Amino acid sequence: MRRLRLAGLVTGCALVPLLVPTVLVLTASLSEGEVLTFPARGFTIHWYSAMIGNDAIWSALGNSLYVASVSVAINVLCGVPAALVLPNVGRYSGALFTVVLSLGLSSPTIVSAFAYFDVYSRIGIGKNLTAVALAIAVTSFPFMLWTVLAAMEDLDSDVLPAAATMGADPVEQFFFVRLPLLAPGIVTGALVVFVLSITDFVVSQVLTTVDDQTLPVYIYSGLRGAISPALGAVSALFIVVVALAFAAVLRLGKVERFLFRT
Amino acid sequence: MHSRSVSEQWKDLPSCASAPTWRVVDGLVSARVFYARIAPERLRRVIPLAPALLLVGSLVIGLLALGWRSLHAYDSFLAVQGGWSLTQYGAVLSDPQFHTVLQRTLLMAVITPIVAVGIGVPYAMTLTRCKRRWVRLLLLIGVFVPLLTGDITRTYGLLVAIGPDGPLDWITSNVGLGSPHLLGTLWAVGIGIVQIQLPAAVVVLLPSVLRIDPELGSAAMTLGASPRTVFLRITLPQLRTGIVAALAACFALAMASFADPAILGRGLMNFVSNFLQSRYLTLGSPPQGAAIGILLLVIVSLGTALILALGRARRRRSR
Repeated sequence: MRRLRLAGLVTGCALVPLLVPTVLVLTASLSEGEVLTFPARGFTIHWYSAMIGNDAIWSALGNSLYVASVSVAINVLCGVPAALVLPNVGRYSGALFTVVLSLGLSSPTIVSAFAYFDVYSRIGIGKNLTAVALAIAVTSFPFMLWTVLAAMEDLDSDVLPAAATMGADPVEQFFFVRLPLLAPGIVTGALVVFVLSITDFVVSQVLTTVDDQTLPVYIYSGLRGAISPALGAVSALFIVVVALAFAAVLRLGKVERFLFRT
Repeated sequence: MHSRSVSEQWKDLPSCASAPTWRVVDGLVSARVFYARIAPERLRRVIPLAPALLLVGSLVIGLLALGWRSLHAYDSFLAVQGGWSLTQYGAVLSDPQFHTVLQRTLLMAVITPIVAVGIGVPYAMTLTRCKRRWVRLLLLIGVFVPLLTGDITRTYGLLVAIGPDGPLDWITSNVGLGSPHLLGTLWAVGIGIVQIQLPAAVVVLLPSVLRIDPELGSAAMTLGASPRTVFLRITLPQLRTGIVAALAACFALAMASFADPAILGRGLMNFVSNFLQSRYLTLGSPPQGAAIGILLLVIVSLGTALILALGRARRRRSR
């Protein structure tokens, strides 16, 4: 019993540095004054109205949304078919393929970013957001693959033979049996990839320039000077996006099932 | 006679076989039959992997291009690439600046995983054992918010929290300790790295925490073991695989960290990633940057493999 209480204490202490900075971002964005102080002085929504009036932020947000959408599309198109056949290719080649397909995560992000930078500068692709999205898609691909694979494990193995006995062609089995059952897993993976891609910083700060920068890179360029509450308002935007995605994922109930699988 | 009458009756029944959806499905079915006829069975089993392999293949091509570039001499004054040589690796490995940066990165990559796993084990145990759903949700949110809000929002929050005139400053100066001046030190960078490692550690640890057999602990208690002995000799050995995997994952994350040194270190505490970027872009020597990249890739792969191998060796000896 004492041990559990100690574990609870450590967990409680760990929660403070995990959650407090995020809450501080939200309070910081509402505080007055050019430089942040604590306790916050006054209350203002000035930074939010300034953000809405700033064209650079809107174009950066548009770039981020475009990159994230393309990355999600690439991940769904490549991840779902791969996850569908991976359990059937045999144990050793299956493990080999999983390791190879996780290369985007096991290679350090900055090295992947410069690998693409090298190739793009050789073949002369400059300032192309789709190319940036491809690089980001590779680094987030394992998350898509693992989520759909976990959903595949949950699948009742008798359902497909049952459909086959009733005369369903493999095509019909896929569209009317497998896809609806896998849909929550696919949506969860897509949401995770979307969030990871829209918040990506390391890859896009290498591959984009001032003209086509994404929102995280825009915020970073403001982070180097004094800490201004204006950036808090922009960061709050991210927190809202992530909170919405997280709520959707929890509603699908896949995350808890995935984490607490035995 | 009878069967014909039945089939005639069927013909009169309303049918949706000509609805556009079913037309499409019929088309897809005949396409599949045609595809099955021309493609051999073995090929059909692997073809759905093709898009994913192409996607990862683009990264492999990139890494090969990076490796190819790192094997060339370079005149940074004329910005001209020279012939094949190993000068880049020689120059990097004998560069005292690189030594400082590599030492700093390795030091942090050894310390932070231990801290992260040390917090991650009790965190994962609490997460699996708490009974109330809202506590579990709070713990899940706590672990995933730093991971999902991304490097920038996360480090901005930490900047506000531990920066000048932040809450930490306020608390310490009110207690009378004076302000700690964490920004630009390894402490700030370390806090940031541990924050991003915790989610990875918890996710990797969870499966083995869930596999802990509670009966074993109870059995040891009945035999008179103290809670400490139970934890050290019963619970921890059951977690070994998870802990080793978590250490490996955290090591790779720490070696690759970029945003934390750049923002929380205020550019004073560069890691290998930042060093790579400044060599490649700011100082304008792409082959040298490429060589650093390949070295980083090799160090991360070897380090992870070493941790996993050590974990396995320890387990075999203890049996």
